[in-house]
Amino acid sequence: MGVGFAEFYLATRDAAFRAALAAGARRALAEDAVAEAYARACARWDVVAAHPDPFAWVMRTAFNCQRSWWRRTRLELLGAPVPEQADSAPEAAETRLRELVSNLPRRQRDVVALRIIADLSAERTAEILGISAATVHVHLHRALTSLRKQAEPLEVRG
Amino acid sequence: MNQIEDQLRDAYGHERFTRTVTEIEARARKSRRRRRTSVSLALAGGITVATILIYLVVPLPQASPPPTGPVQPRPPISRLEDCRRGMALEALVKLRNQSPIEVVAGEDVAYIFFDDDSAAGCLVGKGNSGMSITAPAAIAANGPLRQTIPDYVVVGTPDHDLVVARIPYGMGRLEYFTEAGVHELDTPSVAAYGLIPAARWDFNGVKASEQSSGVFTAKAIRNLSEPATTPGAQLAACQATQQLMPVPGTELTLVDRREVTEETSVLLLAGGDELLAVCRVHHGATINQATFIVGNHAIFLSPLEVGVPGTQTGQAVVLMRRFPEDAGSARVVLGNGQTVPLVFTNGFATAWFTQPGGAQADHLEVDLKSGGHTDYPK
Repeated sequence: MGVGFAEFYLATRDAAFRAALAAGARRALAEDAVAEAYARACARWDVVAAHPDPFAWVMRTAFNCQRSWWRRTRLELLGAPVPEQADSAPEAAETRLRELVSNLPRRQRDVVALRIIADLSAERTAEILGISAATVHVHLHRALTSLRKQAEPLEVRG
Repeated sequence: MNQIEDQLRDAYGHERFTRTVTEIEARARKSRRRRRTSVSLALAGGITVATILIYLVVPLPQASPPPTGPVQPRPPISRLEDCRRGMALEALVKLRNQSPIEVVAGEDVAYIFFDDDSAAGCLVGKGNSGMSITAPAAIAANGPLRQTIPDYVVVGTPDHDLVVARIPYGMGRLEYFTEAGVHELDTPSVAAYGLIPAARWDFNGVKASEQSSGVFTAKAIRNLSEPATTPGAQLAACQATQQLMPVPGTELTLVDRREVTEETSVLLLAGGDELLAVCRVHHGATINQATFIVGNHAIFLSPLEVGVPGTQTGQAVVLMRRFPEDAGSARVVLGNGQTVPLVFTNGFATAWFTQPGGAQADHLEVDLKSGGHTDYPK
C-alpha cells in the first residue's frame, strides 16, 4: 500500500519550506508557494503518488509558483520590507550564512536550496530547474566555493 | 569538506512549516472547485466570445435598398479568431490584451501570446486548429528576440507542429511544452522558427567527449536584406546574427576568412568565454544569406559551398581552440574513418579540407607529447 498524502506531507513539509526560503523567497511568499504546491499534490495525489519522486514534484511546483508570483508582485513592492518573523531566532552565524546565500546569483541559490537544503539528487535538481546535471554540479561548486571564501570561521554547533 | 554543507543545513534547520494537513486539504478542495467553475465558464464563454468576435469581424447589415446584383459572400473569419476561440478561457482572459506574435511557416500559422509569467499559443492549419499550449516563463511580447525573449522560440517539431519552446542556456537541446507536459528534443532535424522572419535555429557540432560538460552549439540561417560582399560587411552580418540568437553576446573577432566560391565566404570567429563561431555568407543572384554556428566547442561546417547536397563532396572546415602545452599533434576523425590533421595558428586549430562523399566530422583526437592521446578537451 502506498504512502498516504498526510503521511507524505508531514514527513516533507519542513524540508520544502526550508528550500523555498533558501531559494530567496520572502517568508510569506515561501509559505504560500509551499502550501499551494502541497494543495495541488493533494488534489491529484493518485498521480503524484505514482511519480518516481513525489517530493521533487512538490519542489518543482513550489518553485514555479514562487517564480510566477514573484514576477507579478515585484512591481508592487514599495518601501522597506517588513521585518520577517521566524518561529525561533537563528544564531548570528546562521544569519550571516543566510545573508551570503541570499546574495548568491539566482541559479546558484536555487541549486543550493534543492541540492543541499532539500537534499535532492543532481538529476532531480536538473529536472526542476531545466538545466543539465553537469550544470547543476558547476553551479553548486561555484556557490559553495563562494560561500566558503566569504563566510567567517563559523562555530560548529555542539 | 562538507562542513559548509552542514552549516547550510543548520542555518535553515530550525524553520518549521506549521500549516496542518487539514488546511492543505481545504485549499486543495477550493482549488478543485475553482477549476470546475473555469471549465463551465469556458464552455459557456467560448460560445459567447465567438459570437462577439463574429459580429466584430463581419459588418452588420445596414438598412439599404436591396442589391440589384449577386449577393456577395461573407468574408471568412480570420485564423487569429480561430485561435482565440480555441484557447482555454483562463488563458484567454489573462492574455487577451496582449498582441500575439504571428509566426508563419508554410501553410501553418502560430499565434503566441505572452504576459509576465506565462505564454499561450496555438497552431492553426494542418488539422490542428485551436490547439492551446501554455508554458511558464518570464517573457514579453514583440520586440527583437534576444532582448525581450531570451529563452523562447517557436519550434517546429519532427511532427511539423509549432510549439513554444525553451532553449536552456548552454544546452544543445530544446525543451518544448504541450498540454501533455514537457518534451525534450536533441535532434538536429528540429527546425526552430524564431520570431524574426526567415530566421531558423537548429543544433550541430562535433560530438563532445563524455568528459565535456556544459557544451553547446547553436546554428542560425538568416536571410540578409542586402548582399554582403566585402569582408567588413560579412563580419557585420555575422555579428548581427549572433545578437539575434539565444546565445552569449560576447563580441567575436575574426580568426580567419576564405572565399570558397565567387559568391560564398566563410569566416572563422572567436571571442571570450571560449566562444567560437563559423559563419558562411552567401551573396547570390536570388539568395543573400548568413549561416552562423556558434558554441563553446569545436565547430564543423560542411559543405561550405551553397547548393552542394550534404552527401556530395564539398569543402569543409573545423575550428577549435588550441590545446594545452603538453599536447602535440591533433586531428579530426571523419565518420568514414579518414583523418584530417589540424593546423595550429594564432592560438586556434583549424582544418580546411575536401569532404569525401559527405562524410561528417565524428570526433577529435589529440596526441600528448608525453605519449598516448586524449579526447578533445573543451
